[in-house]
Amino acid sequence: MESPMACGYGACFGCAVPKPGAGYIRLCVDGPVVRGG
Amino acid sequence: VLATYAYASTVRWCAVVEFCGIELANRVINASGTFDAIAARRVYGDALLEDFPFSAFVSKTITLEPRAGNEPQRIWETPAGMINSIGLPNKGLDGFLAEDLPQLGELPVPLIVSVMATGHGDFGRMVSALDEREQVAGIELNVSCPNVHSGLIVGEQPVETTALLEALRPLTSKPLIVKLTPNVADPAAVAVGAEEGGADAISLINTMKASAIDPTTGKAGVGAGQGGLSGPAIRPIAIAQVRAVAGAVSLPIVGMGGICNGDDALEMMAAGATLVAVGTESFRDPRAGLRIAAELSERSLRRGLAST
Repeated sequence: MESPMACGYGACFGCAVPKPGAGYIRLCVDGPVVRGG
Repeated sequence: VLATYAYASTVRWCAVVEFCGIELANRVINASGTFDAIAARRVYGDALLEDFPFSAFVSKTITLEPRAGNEPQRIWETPAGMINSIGLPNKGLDGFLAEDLPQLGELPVPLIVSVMATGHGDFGRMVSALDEREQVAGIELNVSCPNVHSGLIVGEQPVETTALLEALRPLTSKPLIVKLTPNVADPAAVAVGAEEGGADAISLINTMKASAIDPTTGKAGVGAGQGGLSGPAIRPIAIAQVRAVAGAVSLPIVGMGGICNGDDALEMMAAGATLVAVGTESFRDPRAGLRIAAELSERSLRRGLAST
């Protein structure tokens, strides 16, 4: 997945995408390949 | 790497700075939410602790209960800056105390914890809990939030700001730093309200309300429709507001808004800031604080400003 990033190392929470269930993950540190719902 | 060590050795020549009774190695700290010491340590390892980019660490804002944050998209690039609509995602007070505080206590610099709440009771519970923790050197109050009882944004109203400080002041002897919003007609009046309520310091500016529209979709650039503008685009506004606040209160000021280099930092200090905070520039370069402190030291020496 892709998302605009400000910091790229997990500080800004700008690249968040929804995760299955509830809440968000940060693509910079938890992606770019993520498990689907 | 050589350049980095050169910066660090230059910084060590600076005189120690006193801020609200806290001793700092230089005048450059981070703006809340723009540098994450725990995430940075995962990337840089213990080298981060040997060469920490700031003379104090200001945490991301925490709230009493956990928050997931705003619906994406959360950031939007603008000329000379960015709009963010992050929404204060955090673990809540209990999660912060249990998981983050022990790690932040290992940092080689004093820790300032940023807190936000929507009422005096919740604010008070956080300030009281932090007051008990020796790892916490100071508390920054993020007042860009509504008071649920009055419906007013605390930091937009001098009277609300005074009332909040009067409620919190008896709860802690640690320094209380009030982070002002720039989205008011008269920030100096709010700063005076904070001083009257017993604040120890003022920090400003927070981000400016801003929106962007994606021309390809016609929809707002950030999910919440509106966010906060930061970066060099807002520096002249920050300079004007720091100058106005410095003329109205006798408290020390943490000046921030688009600081990218030593000249920007000197400009902010000339406007009346005791410390300067770096925010958006740290996204581009997490070690920007080291460089800016070194540039500030070098420029100060060159201009004969020995005290800086």
